[in-house]
Amino acid sequence: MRPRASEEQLTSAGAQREDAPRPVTVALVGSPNVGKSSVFNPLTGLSQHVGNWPGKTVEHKIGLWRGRGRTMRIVDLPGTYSLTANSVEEQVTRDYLLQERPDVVVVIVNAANLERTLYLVAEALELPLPIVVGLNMMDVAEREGVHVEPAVLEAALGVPVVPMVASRGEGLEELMTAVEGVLDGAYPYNPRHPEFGPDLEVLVAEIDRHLPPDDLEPYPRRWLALKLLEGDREVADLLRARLDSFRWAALDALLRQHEDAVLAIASARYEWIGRMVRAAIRRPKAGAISLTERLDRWATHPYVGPAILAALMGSIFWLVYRLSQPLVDLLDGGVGLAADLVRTQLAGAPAWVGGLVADGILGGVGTVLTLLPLLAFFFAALAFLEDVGYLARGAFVADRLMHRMGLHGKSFLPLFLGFGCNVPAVLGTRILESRRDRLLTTLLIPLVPCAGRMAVLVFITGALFGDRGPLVTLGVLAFALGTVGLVGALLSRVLFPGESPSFIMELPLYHLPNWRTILLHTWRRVLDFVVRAGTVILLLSTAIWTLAAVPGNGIEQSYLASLGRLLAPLGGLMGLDWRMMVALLASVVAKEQALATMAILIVGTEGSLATILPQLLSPAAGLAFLIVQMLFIPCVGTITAIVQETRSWRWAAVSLAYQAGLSFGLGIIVYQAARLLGLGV
Amino acid sequence: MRLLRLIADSNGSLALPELARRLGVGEAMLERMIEDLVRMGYLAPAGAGCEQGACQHCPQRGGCSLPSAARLWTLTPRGRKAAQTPVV
Repeated sequence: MRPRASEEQLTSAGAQREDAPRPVTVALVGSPNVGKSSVFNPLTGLSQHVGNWPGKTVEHKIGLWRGRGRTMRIVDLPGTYSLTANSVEEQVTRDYLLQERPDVVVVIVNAANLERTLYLVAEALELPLPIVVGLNMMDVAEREGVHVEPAVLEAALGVPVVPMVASRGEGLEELMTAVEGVLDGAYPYNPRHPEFGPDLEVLVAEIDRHLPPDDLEPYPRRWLALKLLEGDREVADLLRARLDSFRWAALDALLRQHEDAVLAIASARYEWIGRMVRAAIRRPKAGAISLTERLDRWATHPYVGPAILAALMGSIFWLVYRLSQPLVDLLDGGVGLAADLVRTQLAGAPAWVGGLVADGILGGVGTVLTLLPLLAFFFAALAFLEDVGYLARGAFVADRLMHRMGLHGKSFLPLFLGFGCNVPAVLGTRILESRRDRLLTTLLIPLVPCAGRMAVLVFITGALFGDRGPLVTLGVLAFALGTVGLVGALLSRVLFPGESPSFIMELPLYHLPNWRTILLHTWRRVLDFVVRAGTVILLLSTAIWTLAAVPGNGIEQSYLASLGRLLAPLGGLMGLDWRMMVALLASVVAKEQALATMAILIVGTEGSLATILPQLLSPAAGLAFLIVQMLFIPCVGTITAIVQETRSWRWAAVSLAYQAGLSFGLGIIVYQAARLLGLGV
Repeated sequence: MRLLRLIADSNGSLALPELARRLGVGEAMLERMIEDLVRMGYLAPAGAGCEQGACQHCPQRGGCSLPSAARLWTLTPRGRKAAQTPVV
């Protein structure tokens, strides 16, 4: 233990004359920000001395209070949440209380946050010191609708409780009157400590028998026994120094055997706090319950919560679809007109120049850019959910569902990010502690439909299914998400058996949307998309057009067609010709590239992709294509991220292989099933 | 401690308000209990976001939405053991 702070050190603070008798000492203790200074400053006025505690960088404040013919020395101790030596402030405070033994200890608590600040009172009551409780911030409590009844709290605690608003000087006189009452024995002081129960009391008595038999002043034996059980290292060091090695070993063994007794002690104190709070506080009425709490009763409800999540996501997709579809159609028509214009303008140039610009660049990149309104609405909707605080609720509800399927609870956060883009989602697996969880989540992320795939989905359902497009979109999405769940459950049981831990989650408050943040977020994502269209998709579209144009005997005789026909047998099982299979392959570069490739390979000199697609694909083949496209192998960016995060090509290869098998397998099943239902025409 | 048992037996994560309701305490007190259990080594912050060192060199760190999503805590091995056995 630290050397005892000497009286000289305290008097050297200049707060009292050397020849004066030792005045009564009152120690002020309390948690940080409970308004202790607002009590100390007006009580001591100009008589304060501020310095540091010997050997510590913790502030030391002493002052004198004079009133009603008495002088008291007020010592303002550092703010502390407990009396266990976890921090230098807690160490200083408890050492002062035990070693200097002030005549009265005033514990300041926050009336608006009594549950948090009563723990210190529980610990202070275990010391052999008279306690007075200053119930500060009564005004804040009232404002927040928390009605504290000081008289009831006083009766429950058995020590004086003084209601105060120290910032306005209210209750200071009454506080000092209570201090005087305790000093003069005028108050029937009868503190009610936390009760530890018979098992713990037996253990405390046993620990006591292991303590040195001699006087342990200034430390109360029971307090030492409790602190030892709480794992207080400073107290352990003190006793190790006071006991011979044999006796210390016996005590240490006993403490190790009961290392979780600290939980019983903390539980007893919390139960005591609960009793005090229930007695003294009238809870806010239903009307005063916060908006966040009222909303969360439904948003995080085990059954209603998932329904809200599904309804919300469904509404978003439907709204995005409805709002963006006219704009997408308009832009699609615009791309067709621009291509016609380019062909006219370049009529005099070599044929390949017009073909490259009109069909390759405008057809490929232009078609992808028609998705811009759709993606902008989608990104804005996700940013809105995140900004108002719903993201965490959605994630919480999704986590519960996933947990039931044996998935890791925390994986939902990176998986949720996957809706925007799979690349940051894979990088987001860094937040998972174990390699098992990281690998499992990394293998699942590429199955989450990213914005690029969403755009392709919405475009194709719009072109193929007309008014039923939104319904088909939701159905395909539900199918894809169900697959994520099933694959996750399978992988977690077969490849990665292990326990999925549960979490306590603190959900942020709901708040009004900040439109600037939402617009900024949306703008960044849209810009990112445009840059990708202008670089990667432009280059690949040019390459695909070139491969489809050479050696020059028409697209059906091109090198690309030769390559595509290798995939035709597989495509045939899903009703897809070689061009659709090439479009699928091209989506490995970027998911939107599937549309660009279709536009290059399918659209001739007339019309647009949206108008031509229904002539090429039956509903059954369209569904099969969409299922494969949603679950197909990850894009190059995601593969790179997987290699980077797992530091191995092996897991990237596993991801490619199982997703290829899964997507084609399910695509074939869906096509054959849809044909049986009469959708094959 | 009941709190540890509730987490251990939970089939999925628990939100603070729900856990507080089940324990019959206020959220402020529950937060204090969680802080204490973290200090005593029974719970550990699970880090919903980039406060963990692993994200230090992440190229997506600037625009990542994980940090604001939620704060999480989970049982440590010591917490799991204490949840299953009598503590005294």
